[in-house]
Amino acid sequence: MNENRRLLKRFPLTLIVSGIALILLNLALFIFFMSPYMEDYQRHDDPLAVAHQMSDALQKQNGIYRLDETKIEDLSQTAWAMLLQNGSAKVVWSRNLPDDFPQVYTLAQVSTMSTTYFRDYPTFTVNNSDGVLVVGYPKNSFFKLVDNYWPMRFIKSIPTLALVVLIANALLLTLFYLRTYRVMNRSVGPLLEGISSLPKQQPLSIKEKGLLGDLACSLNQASELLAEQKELLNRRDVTRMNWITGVSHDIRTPLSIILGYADELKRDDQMPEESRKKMLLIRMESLRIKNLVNDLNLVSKLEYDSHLLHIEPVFPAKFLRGLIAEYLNDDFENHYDFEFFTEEKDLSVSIQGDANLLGRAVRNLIQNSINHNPQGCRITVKLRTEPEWLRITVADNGRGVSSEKLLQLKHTPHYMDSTDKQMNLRHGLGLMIVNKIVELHHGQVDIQSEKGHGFKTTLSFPLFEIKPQSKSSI
Amino acid sequence: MSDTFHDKRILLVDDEAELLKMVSSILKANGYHDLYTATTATQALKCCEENNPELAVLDVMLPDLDGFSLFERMRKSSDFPVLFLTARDEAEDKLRGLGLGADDYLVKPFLPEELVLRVGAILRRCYKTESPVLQLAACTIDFTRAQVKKGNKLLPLTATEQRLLSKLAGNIGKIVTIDALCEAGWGNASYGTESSLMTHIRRIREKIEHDPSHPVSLLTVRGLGYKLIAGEENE
Repeated sequence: MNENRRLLKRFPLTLIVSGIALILLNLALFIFFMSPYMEDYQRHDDPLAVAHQMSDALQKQNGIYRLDETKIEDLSQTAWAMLLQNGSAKVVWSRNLPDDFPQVYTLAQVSTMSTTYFRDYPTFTVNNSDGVLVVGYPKNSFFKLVDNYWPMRFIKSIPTLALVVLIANALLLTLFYLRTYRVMNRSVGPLLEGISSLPKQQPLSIKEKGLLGDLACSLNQASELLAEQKELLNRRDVTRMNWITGVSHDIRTPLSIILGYADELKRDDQMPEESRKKMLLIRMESLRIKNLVNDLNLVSKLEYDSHLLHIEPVFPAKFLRGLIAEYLNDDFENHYDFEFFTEEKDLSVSIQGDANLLGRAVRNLIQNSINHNPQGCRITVKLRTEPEWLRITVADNGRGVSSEKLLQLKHTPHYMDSTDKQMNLRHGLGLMIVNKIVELHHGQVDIQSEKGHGFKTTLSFPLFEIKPQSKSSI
Repeated sequence: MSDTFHDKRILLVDDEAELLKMVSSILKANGYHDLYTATTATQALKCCEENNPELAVLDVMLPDLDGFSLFERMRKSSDFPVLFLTARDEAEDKLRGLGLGADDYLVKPFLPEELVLRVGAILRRCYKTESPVLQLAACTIDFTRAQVKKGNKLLPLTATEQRLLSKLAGNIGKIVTIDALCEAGWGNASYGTESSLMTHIRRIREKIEHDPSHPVSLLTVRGLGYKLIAGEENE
């Protein structure tokens, strides 16, 4: 929005600056092209200067006037000249004088010569001690300004006038600027606003009139298209979710029956050993399907129905203790050694979250440790707080994974997330669920492992709740 | 103790006949023999009138009425406990099920042993006849009289000690977390009561253990909670 306004403001400004630049350029060109003339004018093309030279070069010797030709410029070659005696206005010396010119002139004629033309010859006069030297140049060789005077009042008012002109110019430019800005704002503004609100997926209805009506029309269409696609995607998501829920619902009852009878047959002592093994396999695989169905439902819910989260203050110490106690109470064979570590100060820490889901995330981590270490292992759960983070660590001292496998675990997207046609089916939904749950709680997951040295996962959650407290206590 | 519950009349309601057969088979294999089945809510209500069951296992999805509504109708005439079987695992459904006063729920697919455990637990909770006397290594606890008999001495239990011991006795041999004990002792767990819990545990040990500093009945599970071990002394 601001960006758009700036653009709109800058554009007319650029125009004005370019205008000024154009004027300056023209001025520079004018000066550049005029300068040779100016210099010429100074040196030898100035008729008045030539007249003065001539006057200087005119020497009177023994009553006869003589012109020292070496002292005058080229221009004088095309000029005629005559010296009129003071008083009588009689020609006492002349050069190249046209034949039909009189030898005596009236005062009126001399006065005309000094200001303008004589018989269409541009004339220039120099007064010297003997009289008036008149130099005439060929017809049409010079243009003479006749009224070369200004009232003093005008000359004195030039600074004021210049200021007025300047202000008038500035005003005009400002008006021009404002007008351009308004016009642009009216036609381009809505378009720019429309474009910047497109990513926000708000419905657009820009007036499709004016200069840029076509553009506005396309923009409106684009917005409609986006809305339609969003709707379509939403509908597809809902369909997908319903599909998953439906299918898993339909699997549940038959699976219960399979599990029930498999269990019953397991207890049958008459069954041959071979069949018994197969029976156990059926039971185990059914259990896998059961877990998968549950996980699948959860994932689909996390993905499309995250608004169903039940957010409340969760006390991690409490739910972690409950959870570990559950495992210890169910671990009849005592394969797994559980430990829970936390500091006194962290017992009362709470975060905002969905207790069920957070419990599920930690359970999945513990279950991972159990699944990958059937021989048994020690599972350590740690809860600790840092100024801004709450960290829950689940670590085991079991087999661990190789660094390649770890890298794969961290970076290969799950097949539910993957757009790759070659689905990577090698790891279950467990870790993906953990990731999704932690993501929904604005947290981070960090996995560390080394072959033969256990597996360690740290879940970090931001402590928005106690942030202000910890600040005030420092 | 559980023998007494095997005669309880149990009503099983599910629209899947095969599932009903399977559940019956599991329960029968575990000693329950007085079983009734229904595949619709109408049948179930009729069976309630005729046989007056003492526990019902209800499917949430039934063809004529959903399990929750059926449950509400059943509750109008009697208040036997109910275990819900649900194919949906929405938390909402669970809460609704328990909010109505149902006793427990089980999400399909379930393991047979889970079903048997839940059924047994509900029956024990709802039909326990006398407040039991608990035999520990060094003493016996009489919950009705709130006293401990150690040797020839009779030691009275305070109300809080009684509540804590009942909670532990209800989960005999299992870890009860600090939080659960605080909740049992003082209502909603607040963290100030944790040190108070330790004090009470010490006092209880003085009453029930031979050597309170080396407990054998009321064990500490470090960082998590406590565990009550039943059984006579075997020295």
